[in-house]
Amino acid sequence: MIYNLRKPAILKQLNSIYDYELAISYLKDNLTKYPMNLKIALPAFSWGVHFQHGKMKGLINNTIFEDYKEERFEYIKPNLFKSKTVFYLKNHPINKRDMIRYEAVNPPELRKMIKYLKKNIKQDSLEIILFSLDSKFFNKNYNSYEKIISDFN
Amino acid sequence: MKKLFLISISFMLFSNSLQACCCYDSGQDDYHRLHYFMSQIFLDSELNNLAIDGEWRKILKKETPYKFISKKYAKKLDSLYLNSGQPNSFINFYKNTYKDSSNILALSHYAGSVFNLFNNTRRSDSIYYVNDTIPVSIEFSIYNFSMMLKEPSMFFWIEQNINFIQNWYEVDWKKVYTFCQNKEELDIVLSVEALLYGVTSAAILEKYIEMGGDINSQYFKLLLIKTTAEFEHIFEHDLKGNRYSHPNTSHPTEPKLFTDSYTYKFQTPEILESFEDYKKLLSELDIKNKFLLHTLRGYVAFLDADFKKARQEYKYVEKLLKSPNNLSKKVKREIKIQIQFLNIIIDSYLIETEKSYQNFIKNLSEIIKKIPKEYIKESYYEVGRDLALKRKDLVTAYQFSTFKNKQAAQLLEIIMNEENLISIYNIVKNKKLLFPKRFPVNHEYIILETIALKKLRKNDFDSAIDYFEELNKDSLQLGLCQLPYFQDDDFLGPVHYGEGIPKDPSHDKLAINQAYGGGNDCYDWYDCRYDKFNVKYDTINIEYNKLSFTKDLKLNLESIEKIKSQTEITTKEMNQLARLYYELSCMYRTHFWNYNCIWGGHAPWSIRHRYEFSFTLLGVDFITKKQTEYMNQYNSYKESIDYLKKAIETTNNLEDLAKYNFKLLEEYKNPPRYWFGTISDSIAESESIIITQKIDSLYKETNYFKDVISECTDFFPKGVKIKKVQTGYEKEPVNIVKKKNKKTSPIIILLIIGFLSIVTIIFISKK
Repeated sequence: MIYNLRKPAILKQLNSIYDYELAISYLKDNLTKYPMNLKIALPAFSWGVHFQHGKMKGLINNTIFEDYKEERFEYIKPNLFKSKTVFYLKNHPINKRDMIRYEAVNPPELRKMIKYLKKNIKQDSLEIILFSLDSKFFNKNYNSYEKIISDFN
Repeated sequence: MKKLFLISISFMLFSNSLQACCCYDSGQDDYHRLHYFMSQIFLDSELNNLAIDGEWRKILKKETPYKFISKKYAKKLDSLYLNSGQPNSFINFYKNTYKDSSNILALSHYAGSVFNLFNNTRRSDSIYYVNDTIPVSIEFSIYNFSMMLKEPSMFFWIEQNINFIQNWYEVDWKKVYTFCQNKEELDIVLSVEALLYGVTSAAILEKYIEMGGDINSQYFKLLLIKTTAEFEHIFEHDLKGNRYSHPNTSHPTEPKLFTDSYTYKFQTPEILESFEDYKKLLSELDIKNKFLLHTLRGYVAFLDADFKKARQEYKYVEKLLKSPNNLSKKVKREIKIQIQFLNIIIDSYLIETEKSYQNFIKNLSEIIKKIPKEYIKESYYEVGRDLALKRKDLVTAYQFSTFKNKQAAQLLEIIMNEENLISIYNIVKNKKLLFPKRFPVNHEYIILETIALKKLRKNDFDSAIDYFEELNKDSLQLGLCQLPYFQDDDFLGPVHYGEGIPKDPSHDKLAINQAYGGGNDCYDWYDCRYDKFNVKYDTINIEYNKLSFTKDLKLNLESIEKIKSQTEITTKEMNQLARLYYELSCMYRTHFWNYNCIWGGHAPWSIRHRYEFSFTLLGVDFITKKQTEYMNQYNSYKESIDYLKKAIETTNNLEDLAKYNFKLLEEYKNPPRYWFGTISDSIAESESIIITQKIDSLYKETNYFKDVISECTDFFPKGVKIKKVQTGYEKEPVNIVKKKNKKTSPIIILLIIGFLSIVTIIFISKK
C-alpha cells in the first residue's frame, strides 16, 4: 500500500497521501528482501484535510480541487484554503477561518513509482490495485491512469 | 395524564425484565469549563441546575432518551419502533398517541422513522407524506431530532443521529427552518445547527442572528457561554503562566517540562482572529440581560489581558445592580460576589509587594468563603495556590491545595522542606488553616507523620522517634496516619468507627490501585502494611510499626558504631558486625520504604510527569531539584545492597559469606522493578555472573550451599561447570565447617563406646 504515508494531522506538510521520495525511502531497503509475492496498491483518490485552530478536525472525503475553488474559500497556498464563512461542505461543517489542505496524487509521480517498482520487483507478474475506482478524483483523471497502466502493461 | 396511563398499561403488558440502555459515551473529550465565571447565575431556573460548574458538557451532557422513561415503557416503544414492519406504522402511532406530548424517546423514534421512511422510499415514484401536508424528508427528520433539545442533555444524542443522516445525505438546513412552528422552535433548530459545528465562533453566532434566532433566548445565552469557555480553554495556560500580565511580550515560553502538548494563545493567527471577531460581536451585541452581557465582555477582556477594560465592564455591572432592576435579592447578591471575585482574579496578576500579597490572600479567602457552596469550584482555590507558588510561598500554596488530587500530597511529600512542614503543622495545630474543611480529619497527624518520615529518611533517628512518639500518644494515630497519595474519597471521608477517628488506612487498597490492574511484585500486601509490617531475617519474622522499626534501626546502627569504635575486634565480633549489616540490609529492603508502591508502581514516571501544571510556576530547576532529592531519599533499595556488600566485606565465616553472596545474587537476578533507583539490567547481569562464579568457586563446600543454594536450580543448574574466579572484596576463608564428609577419629569412637558401656552396666546393676 503506497499511500497514506504521513499523518494527515500534521499541519505543515504538502501531502500526506503520497510523496514519491518518501515512498522510495521506505521501499528501497525492503523491497528485494521481502520473501513473498507482492501486490501493489496505489492511490487514486483525493481529500481535504480540515483544520480548526491549528488542529485536524477531520477528513473531507471524495472532494476534488474544484470543490475548493469557490468564493467561500480564500486561496492561501497552491493546496491550502481558508474559509471565509460558516457553511457545510459535503455535509461537513466548516467554521469561519478553518483551513483545508487539499491532497491528491500527481499522475506523473505515480508513473515514476510504477517504473521503479517494475525495475525492482523481480516477479513474473505484478498486480497493481488502484484505490479507489469510484472516487471522483479517479473519474476525473481516468485517462491519465489508463495511460499509466497501459504503458506499464 | 395520558403518559401515566400508558405507563401503567405498559407495565401490565410487559412484566418481564428487559434491557434498556442508559448513558452512553463516545469518548469525546471537549470538556471546557469557565474557571472563574459562575454562568449559572445568569441563566433561567430551568437551565440553572444544568449549568453547575459552567461546564458546557454538563449542560449538554451525554444522555440518552432512555433516562427519562421506565425500562418497561421504553421496551414497549422500542418494540413498536423496531417490529412495526413499516416505518409509517410508528409514524401513525406517534401522531395518534404522542403528537402533543413531551415523550423524548417517542420523539426520537418518530424522527428515526421519518428518516427510515425517506430512506426506504427515496427511489419510489410516489411521494410519501408524514401527515396531510408534509412529504417525508431528511430535513423533517432532522427538525424532529432537533426538537429533542428542549431537554438540553439530549444534545449528544441529537448530534449522533443528525451526523448519521448527514453521512448519507446532503441536508438543506434552510428547509429544516421551514418546519418550525414558532420562534422557540426556530431558536432550537438554529442552536442545534450551531452546536453541530463543534467549536462555536462569532460567525456561527452571527448566522444564528441572521437566520432570525432570538438573542434573548436561553439557547443563545448557552452559545455565548460555550464560546467564552472555548476561548478560555485555548488561553488557559497563558492565564496560568507567569507572564500573563504582560501581553505585549512575544510568545510566552512556558517551562517545557510538562507542557509540550498544550495549545498556546499565539499558536495560530486564526485563533487570535477568531477571538477578535468574538470580542467585536460582544461589543455590538444588545441582549436584554445586561448583567450577563457586561460580565461576559469584562471576562473576555480579562482573557485578552486587557485588565482596564475588564474592570470598566465589571464596574458597569455593579452600577446596574444599584439601579432599579427586577432581580431577586439572592441573584443580586450572587452577581455582586461574582464581580468581586472577577476583580480579585485581576488583582492576582498585579501584586508586587509582600504587603499587598498578604492582603490579597486575606481578601481572596474571605470572598471564597462567601461564594455559595453549590457554585464553588476548585479553580477558585487555584488562584490563591498559583499566586503563592509564583512567590514560592509553599505554606500558603498548601492551604489552597487539596488532597482530592495530588496537589497537597505532592506539596507535603516532595516540594516542602522541614521548615515549611513545621509551619503548616503549627497552623493546623493552632486551628488557623484558611479552609480547614477541605482537609482530612486527621490532617494534623498526617503532617506530623510526614515530618517524622522525612527525619527518618535523613537518618535523624532521634527526631523521628520524637515525632512518632508524639503520634503514638494517641494510640490509634501511629497506625492510622498516612498520606493519601491516590485520590481516595473513602480515606478522606468522615469517621468510619468512633468519634473523630479517620477511616482505617487503606494502604493496601492504595498499593493495589494500579493502572494496569491486578497485583504485581511491587507490594506484598499481607506482610507489608505501612503501620504494621514484617521484616524477615532468614527464618525470623519481626513485626514492626513505624516507631519500633525506627528504634530498632537506630539500635542496629549504634551497635555497629560501638563495635567499630573498639581498638581490637575479634573474629566473633567481626561476624557479629557483618550480621548487623545484613540485618540493616533486610530492614532497608522492606516495603516500608517503598513509597513507589503507593504510587501504583509508577512513581518515577508519576513524580516527573503527573504534576499539577501549576507547579511549573516554581521553575523547572526548583522542581527537578526537589524530585531528585525525593527520589534519592526514597532509594533505600540501593542502601540495602550497600549494607549487604558491607556484610560480605566484614565477615570471615564461610557459611555467612555463602549466604550473603547468595542474597546479593538474588537481588541482582531479580531486581525489583518498581523501586526507585533500581539497578540497570546490564549491571545486574554482569554482577550476577561474577557472584555466581564466586559462589561456585569458594562456597560450594558450605552447608549453606548444599542446603539452600543448590536447591536453586535456576541460578545453579546441576551438572553445569562454572569457571573459577578470584574473589573481589572478601577475605581468605579460615574455618570451613564440614558436616557430611567429616572423618571422626577412632580414639573418639572407642571412648564413646566405653562411656556407653559404663552407663549401661550402671543402669542394669541399679535395676
